[in-house]
Amino acid sequence: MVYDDGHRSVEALRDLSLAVARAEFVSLVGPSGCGKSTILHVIAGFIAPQSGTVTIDGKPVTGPGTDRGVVFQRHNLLPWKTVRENIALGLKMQNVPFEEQTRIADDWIARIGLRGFEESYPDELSEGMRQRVGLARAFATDPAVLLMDEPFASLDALTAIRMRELLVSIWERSAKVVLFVTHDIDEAILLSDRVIVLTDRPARVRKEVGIDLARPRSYERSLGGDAETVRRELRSLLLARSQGAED
Amino acid sequence: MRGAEPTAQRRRESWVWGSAAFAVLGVAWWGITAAGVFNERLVPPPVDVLRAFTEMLASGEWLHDLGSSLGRYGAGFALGNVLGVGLGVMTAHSRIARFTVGAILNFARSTPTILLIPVAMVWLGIGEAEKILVVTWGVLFPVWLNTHMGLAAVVKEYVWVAQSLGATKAQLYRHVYLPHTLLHIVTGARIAVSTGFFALAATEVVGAFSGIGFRAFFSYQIFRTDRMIVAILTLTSVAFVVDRLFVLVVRRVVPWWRHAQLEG
Amino acid sequence: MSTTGNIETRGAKHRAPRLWLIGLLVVLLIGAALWLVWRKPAETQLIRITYAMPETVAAIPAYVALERGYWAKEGLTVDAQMFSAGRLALDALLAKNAQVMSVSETPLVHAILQGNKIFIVATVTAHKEAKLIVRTDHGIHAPADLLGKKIATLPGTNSDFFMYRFLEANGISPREVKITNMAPPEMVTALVGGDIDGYFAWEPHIYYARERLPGATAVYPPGNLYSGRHCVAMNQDFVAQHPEVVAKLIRGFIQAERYVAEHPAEARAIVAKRTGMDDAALRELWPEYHVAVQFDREFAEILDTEARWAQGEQGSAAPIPRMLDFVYTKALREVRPASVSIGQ
Repeated sequence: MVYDDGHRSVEALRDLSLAVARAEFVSLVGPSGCGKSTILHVIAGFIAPQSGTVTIDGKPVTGPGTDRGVVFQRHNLLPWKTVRENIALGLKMQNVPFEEQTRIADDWIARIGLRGFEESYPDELSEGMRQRVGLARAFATDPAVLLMDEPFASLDALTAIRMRELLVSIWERSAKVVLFVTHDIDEAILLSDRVIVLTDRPARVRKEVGIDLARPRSYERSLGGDAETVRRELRSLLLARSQGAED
Repeated sequence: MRGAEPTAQRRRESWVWGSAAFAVLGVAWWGITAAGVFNERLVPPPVDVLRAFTEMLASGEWLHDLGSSLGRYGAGFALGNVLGVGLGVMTAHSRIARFTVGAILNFARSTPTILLIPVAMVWLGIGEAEKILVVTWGVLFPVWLNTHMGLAAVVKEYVWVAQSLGATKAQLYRHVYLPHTLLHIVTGARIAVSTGFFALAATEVVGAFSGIGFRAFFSYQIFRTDRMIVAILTLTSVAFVVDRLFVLVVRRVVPWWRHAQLEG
Repeated sequence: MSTTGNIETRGAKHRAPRLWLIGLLVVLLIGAALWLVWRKPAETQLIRITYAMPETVAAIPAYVALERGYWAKEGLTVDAQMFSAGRLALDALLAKNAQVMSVSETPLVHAILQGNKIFIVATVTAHKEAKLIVRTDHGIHAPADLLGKKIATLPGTNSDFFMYRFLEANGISPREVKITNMAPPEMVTALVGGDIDGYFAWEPHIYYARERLPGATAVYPPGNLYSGRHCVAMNQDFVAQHPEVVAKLIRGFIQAERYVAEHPAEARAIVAKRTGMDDAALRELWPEYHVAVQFDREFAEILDTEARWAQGEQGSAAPIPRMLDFVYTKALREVRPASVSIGQ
């Protein structure tokens, strides 16, 4: 998968080129406001780039599609639908038979540990529970690519830890590409195969850093000494303020 | 908990306090008339009004007027809501519509309905159609405005989520736009309940043969202030009842509307 | 929206009753303040009054007296407040926002029947301004053709009384005609637009419709069926406290009466200025209005006839009061006794 990007009138991005391989978990890390969310929106098809193209498996992206699922930081769930209805939404819109919808949705509800909450509305759930449902919703339609925009950033530390473990366990059993935007280095190290560090706006790739930790990942290992070098490198890359030609 | 169902105790409380408030008003009314603060002919005591009411009820006049008014109101309210929502969808989703139709609607909505009656007469005559359309005029603006604002304020993440799940335009409307906006539309419709009644009263003063507004005007002209007040209070009470029914129906038909307030 | 109730913290329970009390006190204070403001000021030595004046041709002498300063010469300052309808001017008097007003006799009869304590202190214009106008092109060529047609009237007015007399005289029951209500300006629009087939109103609203539908209308004047008076009315308690004001008003009216007789063209100009009517209309209607400050015998009959009709209209069971009890002849009798032919 390859994509090239031009710049918008706000100059959010400039001459950005990324390539992501199949079944790879890639994090996009960068300072606040550098445009990492914008990249995601462009790939998702919500915004059209002024110049450049996005292709998936060689096919260009012209708008949102079921091959790319999204998880946002908030507002993932439609407030007027129950947990089950939210998870099944994509299936319903693709005319999957009702029993099948229910089966898949309930299966996911169990996997995210929310059994008993099938008929609950989002405003009856905690933030962490909502994000769990949001993950399930995105995964339920089995898209090839998952785009996540700081999905755990507004959760408290403990909940976020549990969410990351949940995400890792779900993803490692699938063959999906995940593009994960975050500002949290530790999170990136825990989750990803590769971390792309971006510069300040207009964003360009500053450096791509591979994470060579073995899978399945665990918190202990990601916090341990093996990861120390890569952590230091990422930290220094992020803290250095430079205009950003590639190192 | 936002939007929580009022507990039984709360509901009892609101009934008790509400009745007390109205009782105080009633006593104040009696007190003011007893003290002769205003001309008794212009502000009759509650007893006179009650007597007039029983007369009007016994002669069948009251029910007849109520029927006429409710008929006009019902048709106008329905039409006004349909038009309001339709126009709101149009102006919210089409830039051209917003700049043309939207601009005209925005300008027109500040016109007090009562001043438009003579104009309405010229174009529409003085029959039932004219009355229904005047009510429609009174109803459509709050509904249009709220529909438009609601649609314009749609949380874009909801739209994006639905789009990434493969929603067509129609599915977007069904699953995102309309439910999201429904709360706004309902708010607009509730406002329209009373503006509709104002319009009704204004139009029944010209060229009607029956109706609550007609009765108020007629009674005023022949100096039966007591009957006039009966008519006015009837109108207010009907508006109140319609509003309450409205809330009940919405709660039943749209059980999730309470949950549409989620912010986070 | 369901009332989302108040969020009461524990501590607030103690504060809540206090706040409630303060709120009540504030409301009471505001109420008292408003009452003080609205209460009419004690009437002592008064040389300034408010005249609630309707915009109607029959009020000729009032406009002339005001414009020519006849009341000012009597030492009485009159602030005229114009009202588009006589009924509204009457409301102002009854609410004590004005001390004197004038209008055709019919609204006054209705008001008296409902127990309002007013005096008619003079009649200043005699007229037959209530008329019926119909559209001949809607097939109305004789009174009998009114059956089943849509006719407009404004209840409680002199033309409404004329309608009663007209239908009775022509053997038509009100139920045989579709009677609808609206104010005269709307009647003109409705007739021109064809939404009604005819209406009962007073001038110049007949004139306006005739002008807009040349050749398509016929006008039925009242003949013997109706005769009207533009009456000057005041609240009884004010008359009792300030009889001298009544005398000054009447003297001013009498001077206006003279001026109208001697300078009709100028008088018309004054009326045109006050009402916005054009000179052509006024010139045509002028002969129908006889300005005379008087209490004539026919007036007593008019009051009695209209009172009987009004009682039926109002649907009240109370007995009709003696109408002459509401006519204050004393002032006019003192100023010009020859003009008074009724009562004591």
